[in-house]
Amino acid sequence: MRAFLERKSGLAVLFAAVAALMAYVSLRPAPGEGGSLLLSFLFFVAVIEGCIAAAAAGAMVNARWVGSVRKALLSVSPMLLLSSFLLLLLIPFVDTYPWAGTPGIWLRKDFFIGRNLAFLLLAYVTARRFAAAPANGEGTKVRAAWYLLVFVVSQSLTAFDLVMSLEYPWVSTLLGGYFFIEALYGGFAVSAILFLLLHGRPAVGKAHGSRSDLSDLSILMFGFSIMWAGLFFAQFLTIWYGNIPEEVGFIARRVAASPTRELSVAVLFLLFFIPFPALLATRAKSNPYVVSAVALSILSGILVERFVFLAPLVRISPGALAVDFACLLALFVAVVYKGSRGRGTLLQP
Amino acid sequence: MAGALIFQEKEKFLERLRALVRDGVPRERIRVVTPFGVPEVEEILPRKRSNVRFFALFGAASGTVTGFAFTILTSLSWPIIVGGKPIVSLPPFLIIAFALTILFGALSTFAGFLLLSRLPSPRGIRSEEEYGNAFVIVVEDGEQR
Repeated sequence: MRAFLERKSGLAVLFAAVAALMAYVSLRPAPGEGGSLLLSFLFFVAVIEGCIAAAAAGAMVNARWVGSVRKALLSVSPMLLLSSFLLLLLIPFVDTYPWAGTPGIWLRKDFFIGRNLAFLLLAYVTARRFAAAPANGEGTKVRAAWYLLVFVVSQSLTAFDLVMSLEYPWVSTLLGGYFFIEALYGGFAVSAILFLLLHGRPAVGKAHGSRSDLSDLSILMFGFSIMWAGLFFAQFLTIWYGNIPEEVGFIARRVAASPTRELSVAVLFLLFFIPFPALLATRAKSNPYVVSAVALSILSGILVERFVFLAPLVRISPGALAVDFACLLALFVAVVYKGSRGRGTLLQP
Repeated sequence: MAGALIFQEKEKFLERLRALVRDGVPRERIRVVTPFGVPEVEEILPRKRSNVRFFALFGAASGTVTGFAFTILTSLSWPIIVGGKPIVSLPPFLIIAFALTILFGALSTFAGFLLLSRLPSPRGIRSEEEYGNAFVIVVEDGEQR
């Protein structure tokens, strides 16, 4: 496998194979294929865009930890191009949205796909431009800022269009912000995992790849766990206090029956009640076992939450989900492996 | 006091400090006076963790308890049903409890800092020895500690 990835066209062949397999699986007429693809798409787009956003946010503030994982984080940018292709595979699935077939301006199939595709492609272009800039070079911060701007719009659109419109006419103005903050949270979790994979047990000191960098990443995850809880609570309290049937229905549908009821509680634990106390102690922030466990908890929390968003509304086929998820995970590992080895990445800028 | 080693240059001061620790002089007997903060000293002579964290913990915990007690007892002594919610509704009370956790935690930490650093009395913190811009290492006698 290593020898295959070392070849110049190895990654391109892998991309084509993944795209073909996912197209075959999701375009079959079997029920639940579109829902499975949507779930995998939502999770991986959040993680991929979040990884690049974490590197961009770090570059904006001259964060030292970015130097340890920058290359690995930015190596995932070609996957944004694949995500654009996956969005096209979702075109038949859009017909199952509750607003499909009714006249409208914002919720119209061609405009719906068009704007999401445009921002995914824009995210790819801005990410590649940011990746092509030297770490501390002139204009890097400007490119990082452009990417972050596109990232915020792209993740907000994903939330409003692909998730919120499934619950039409339920509306939440907070969901866009909730999604891009969660994507950034996931980006920091992936950064921590990549840091530990690339540097192993970190040494004491202030150099790149040292314990101080890992501690900085842990502080970011700790801070974002509080921020996530704040956003979650702001949304929950508003719905709970307002008690308006069309708003409460969103929560009621998920907590009324198993397994989404238990999974909803699990999300709270995976994204807040585990990361917050686990990273409270100073020593825990530089402990590789604690940090990797917390990072995995965060990523699992995001995946389970995406499932909870979709499960009451769309049919999800476990087999198709397993294939889609395995394909994207394998590709993610491959691009990071190749990118972090410094042998050049697919589609060099 | 056994003696004060006075240096004009930071590097020589740090070199001597490292040598003292390497030679086995107990860290608790070494005291340093510097004209400004020197982070390397923290690495050579790691300090005992400050007890101010216990003030923060106690303050924050008492804030949480006060926040919930305040809102629950007020609601029970003046029971008005608002929006069809139960009299004791924890979600909105959590905001008061959270705010008081931060407030009490911050005030208690500040009070702990003042108490432990012997502020606001300047007599408690002002050193009787004056070394100007010099870096000083004082190795104290065993009996003095």
